[in-house]
Amino acid sequence: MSVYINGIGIISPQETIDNNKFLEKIYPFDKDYFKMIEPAYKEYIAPRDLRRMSKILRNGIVAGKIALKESQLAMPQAIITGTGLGCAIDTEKFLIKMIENKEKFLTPSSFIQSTHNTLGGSIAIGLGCHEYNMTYVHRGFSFETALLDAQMMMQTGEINNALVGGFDEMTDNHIQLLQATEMYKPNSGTVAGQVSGFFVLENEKKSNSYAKLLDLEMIYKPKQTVSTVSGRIEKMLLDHKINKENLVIVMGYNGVKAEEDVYQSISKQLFEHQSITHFKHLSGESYTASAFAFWMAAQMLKKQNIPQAILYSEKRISKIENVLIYNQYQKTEHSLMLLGKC
Amino acid sequence: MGNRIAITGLGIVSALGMNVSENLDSLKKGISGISSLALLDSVYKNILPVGEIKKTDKQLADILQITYSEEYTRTALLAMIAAKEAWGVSGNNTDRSGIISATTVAGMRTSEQHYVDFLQHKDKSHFVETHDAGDSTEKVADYLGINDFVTTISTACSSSANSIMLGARLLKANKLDRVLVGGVDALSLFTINGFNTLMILDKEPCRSFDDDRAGLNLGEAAAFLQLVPEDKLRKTDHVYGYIAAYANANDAYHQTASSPEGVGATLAMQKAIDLAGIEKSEVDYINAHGTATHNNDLSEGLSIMKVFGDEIPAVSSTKPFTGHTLAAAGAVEAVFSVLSLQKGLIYPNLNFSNQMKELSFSPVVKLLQTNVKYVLSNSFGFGGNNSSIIYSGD
Repeated sequence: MSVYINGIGIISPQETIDNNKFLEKIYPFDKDYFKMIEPAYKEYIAPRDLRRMSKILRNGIVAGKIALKESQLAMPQAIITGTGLGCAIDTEKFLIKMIENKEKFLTPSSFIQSTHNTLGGSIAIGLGCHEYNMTYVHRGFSFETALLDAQMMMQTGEINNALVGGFDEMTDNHIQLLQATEMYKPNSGTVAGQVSGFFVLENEKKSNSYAKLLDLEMIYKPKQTVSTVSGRIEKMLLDHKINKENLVIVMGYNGVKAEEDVYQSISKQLFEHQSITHFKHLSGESYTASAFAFWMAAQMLKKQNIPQAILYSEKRISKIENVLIYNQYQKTEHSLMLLGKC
Repeated sequence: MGNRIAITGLGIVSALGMNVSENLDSLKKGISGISSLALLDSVYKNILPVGEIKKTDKQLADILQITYSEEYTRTALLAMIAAKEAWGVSGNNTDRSGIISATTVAGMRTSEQHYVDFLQHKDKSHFVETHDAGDSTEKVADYLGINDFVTTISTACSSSANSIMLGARLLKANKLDRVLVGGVDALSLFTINGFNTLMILDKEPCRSFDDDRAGLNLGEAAAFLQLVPEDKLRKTDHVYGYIAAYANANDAYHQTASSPEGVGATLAMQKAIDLAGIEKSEVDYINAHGTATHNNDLSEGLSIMKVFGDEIPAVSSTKPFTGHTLAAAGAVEAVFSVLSLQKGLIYPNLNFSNQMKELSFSPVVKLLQTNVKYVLSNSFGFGGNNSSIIYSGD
């Protein structure tokens, strides 16, 4: 049984909302971190609802709607989301008010919207969807666990389709905290970003399918990073009898030397003859940045095109049959996602 | 029955005690863990009772025999204690082992203390590493040497019921050989104030399923279960019980309130019973979500009536013992449910005195000693998340 990507809705720091376009124009980050290019919310959400919704809810709901519409799926059999920080803005709002007011005169609205599953719950309410609803919140595995859960449920026959999303938002306070750490240190570290990407996965191929999800693996704190990860990559490629001639690689290059060294070593070891692409210079780094990579891989397979802006090192390729994504978060959570052409 | 999922380890730390036997002892004696807040400085200290674990972070570190440092939040320390008990020695030397934990506010207890400094431009970096939900899970994983699969769930107050579900699914899909599943939440100013703004905290010890109930008491806890598929059991494994079935449905009604008729709750319970392949009359005990809020107990009570009709089994909520421990609640009550099967006990619903007008049943008020074969445990949360799990003795 295969898992097909049949609909996508993604809001990011790039113009990704129109699925017919594929990184034609590039937007660099302007200050501190990558901001989202916001859609015209009113086209998707009634003004009455819009007023009550935080930005992270708006973006997630719009992305979910676009994905469902594209796949012509009215009611998913599961809504599964992944987020590292959840509704960071509302969490912070409540926290600051609580501290400033010394626990007095607080209102519930930002507390209500602060839980990690607020978006999953809101999408269910919007659709009237009583089905399976789940939210994963584990750092660089958040989106990956959501995908894995959907894939397993399809394999066991529990569901035929699912709406799966990865989302995170950055805040002006949180970026200050991050920038005090090695990883996000201005100039030497990486740049934070945010993505809200939703995907309709189904167990059947349709005329508008983007790609197949063939395999997915999460590797936690590998002992010898390069040899462990490259071993797992080789096994995955072998398991699926992947012809490396038609393979494109996506890697999570993010400007942090220790992480980049790993990507370099693995590229050198396994992918001397493959085109390597990257994405965090477009999406920024976040716990769920891999949702952007997943979108990119699906687009490359469907459009048979590698936009110039994502090329890290180019090799000639006649046909894109497979894309392998290798991403890591802070040398701790490593993930592999293998996609195939439909 | 296919390849059943066996429960081979239990671990818990709550206001009732620091391990399984202390918790069981309090349940049997009917001693509640609800008290005044002592270890957290809040303006509600003497106003809102809580289920607090009366150990400082330093004392928790001592129990674990680790050097206390700020790298370990209270959330992580609680999780490590319960996880260690559940993992025991049998968890070691497993081919492919994993951990799935759950939390709602993660490292917030620590973050909220340091955020004052941050806002005043003093220290900035202190807590950012322990703030997110993944931190406590990774602390447990590293402490116990579990590294083949590590993830965390947050579906509000149903979170750890969902970790149990994902764990079972991973074992059935043969992705792992053994998995530690559960959840944790430490008391924090954030949750105390958050629930207080919703006006659903009782100033008295909570009264689940009572007509005069006035809200919940928050609690803190961590609880874990060790799961192994039946075909991978080792001679050294002790089987406490099995996971007979589970279901997750969504109420799709309101972000924080349950639908009056309990659509999601009914669906979750009904589906779990169907998947277990049992008659509803075979359920001996329902360990209810029973938070003691007006809304939950009415909605849950009505959905129990809808599902079970005239044959309503023994029902009680153990929240008056522990308080509502948020993401930990599903796993706390899983441990209680398994102990119920093992010891043939049905726990009293403390503080109950007045029958709810809308319900045809009232909860069990005295400890019952009886044969218990199937226990249904409910966990419901914000976001309309409804999960029901059925545990079986053999």
